[in-house]
Amino acid sequence: MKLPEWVQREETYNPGRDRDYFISRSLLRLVSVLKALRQQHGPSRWNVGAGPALITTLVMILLIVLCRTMAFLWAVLAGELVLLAFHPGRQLRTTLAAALAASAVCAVIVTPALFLGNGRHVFLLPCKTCLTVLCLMLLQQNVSWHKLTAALRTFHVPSLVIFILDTTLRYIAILGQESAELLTALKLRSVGHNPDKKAALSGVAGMMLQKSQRLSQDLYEAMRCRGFTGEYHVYDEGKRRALSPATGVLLLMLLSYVYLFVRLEGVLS
Amino acid sequence: MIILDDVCFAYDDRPILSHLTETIEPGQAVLLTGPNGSGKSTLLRLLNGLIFPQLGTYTFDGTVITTAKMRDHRYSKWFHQRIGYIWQHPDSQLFCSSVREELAFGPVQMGLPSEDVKKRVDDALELLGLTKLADRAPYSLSGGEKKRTAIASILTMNPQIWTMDEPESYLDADGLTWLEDFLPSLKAAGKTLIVATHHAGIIQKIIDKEIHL
Repeated sequence: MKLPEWVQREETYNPGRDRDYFISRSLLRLVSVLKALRQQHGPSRWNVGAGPALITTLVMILLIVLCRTMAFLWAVLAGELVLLAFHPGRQLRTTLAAALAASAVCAVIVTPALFLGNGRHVFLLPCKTCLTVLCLMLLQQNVSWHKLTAALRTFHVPSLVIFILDTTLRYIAILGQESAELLTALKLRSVGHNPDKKAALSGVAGMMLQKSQRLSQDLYEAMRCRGFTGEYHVYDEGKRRALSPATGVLLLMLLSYVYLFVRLEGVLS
Repeated sequence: MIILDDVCFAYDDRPILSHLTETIEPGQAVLLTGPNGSGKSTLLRLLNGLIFPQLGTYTFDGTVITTAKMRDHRYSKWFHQRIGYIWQHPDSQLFCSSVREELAFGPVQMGLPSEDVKKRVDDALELLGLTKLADRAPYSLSGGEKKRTAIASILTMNPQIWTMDEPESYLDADGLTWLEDFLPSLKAAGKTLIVATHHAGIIQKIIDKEIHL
């Protein structure tokens, strides 16, 4: 095979000073999302049932939202900090950063209330936001998303909805992986000055759109080939699982908080 | 010259590359072999400066490749021009709106005059039999056509070292024959070839070294 003359000589290339932070930043963000998704598939720290964990989280959020005194919020904070203390340092930092950031945003939003003579809530609402986010982060870090969506069956959510949620999670991982690869390829070939960085990045976005469309069509066709007619049935092993010690402790904590709420908020008085 | 000195790499706690020591001279054709999951793709990623040895060193033309070195934008761009990477799945590599644009992306970035860019693109289109597909969107091509577009997009950058991850994948019988012809021509042009493949036949005639992982 005769190669063109320019292939046969060695390239003497001296790159300019153009930088490509936009690719590196996008890549880093994607990789962190993918890492979080992969960690979801690892063994969970505590063998806690997804259903009880979901119910506990929802009830706790409800109690946090409904309470009107700081005493109950302090009690919840204490419990959440105890649970957080079992997490590794990096996870702890991420969780606290997210909760504090959310409460800071909330504090900014409710600041005008301070000048309108409703000062008490200026402190209460950011605290509630912080505790709610902590609650959700604890759930997310201790129960995999896949198990959480499966636990929705407890609330009689249709199987098709659960399937769609599962598929969405799977596609976030697949498409995330694909876009990370595309961005890496873009980075490898970005060897000089790129006058139109947005065009390159929108090319990646366009490719992802095409891929997601193709993937969804492939999935639908594969399901049809395996007998899917519009109704999705979840396979249940039919075994009743014994309550794990961790789930027992969690439910005990929930009952304690409900009791505390009744006493501190004076619900029955 | 590429020197790998006692290179180790692991994903989480799973060791992939274990105390790998190799030297690859300019112009050599190197075959990477090993079963699935043995670290062929990982080694190619490492050679391309996408990941770094956790132990040991990777030296490229006298420079030790580290995270800090690759943060030097000028060096990293020079490095990525010197070493081209053909991905196993062409879908991972194509992001432009037409085949022609895909091929022109590298040379345009390198700041080549527009007539040189046009010549390179036209030559590559012809060499890889893509002329009729030049204005098609890469995502609309067949697997083999995508693979040829991916190879052509690296060819137009004219890297001195070619790293290829299963270059035969997606290619039909004609494509394989073409590849068996193309690789010796690249070697004859003085390029270094590092090929990870399960089909050693495509590079068997020109192989200088085999690294079994």
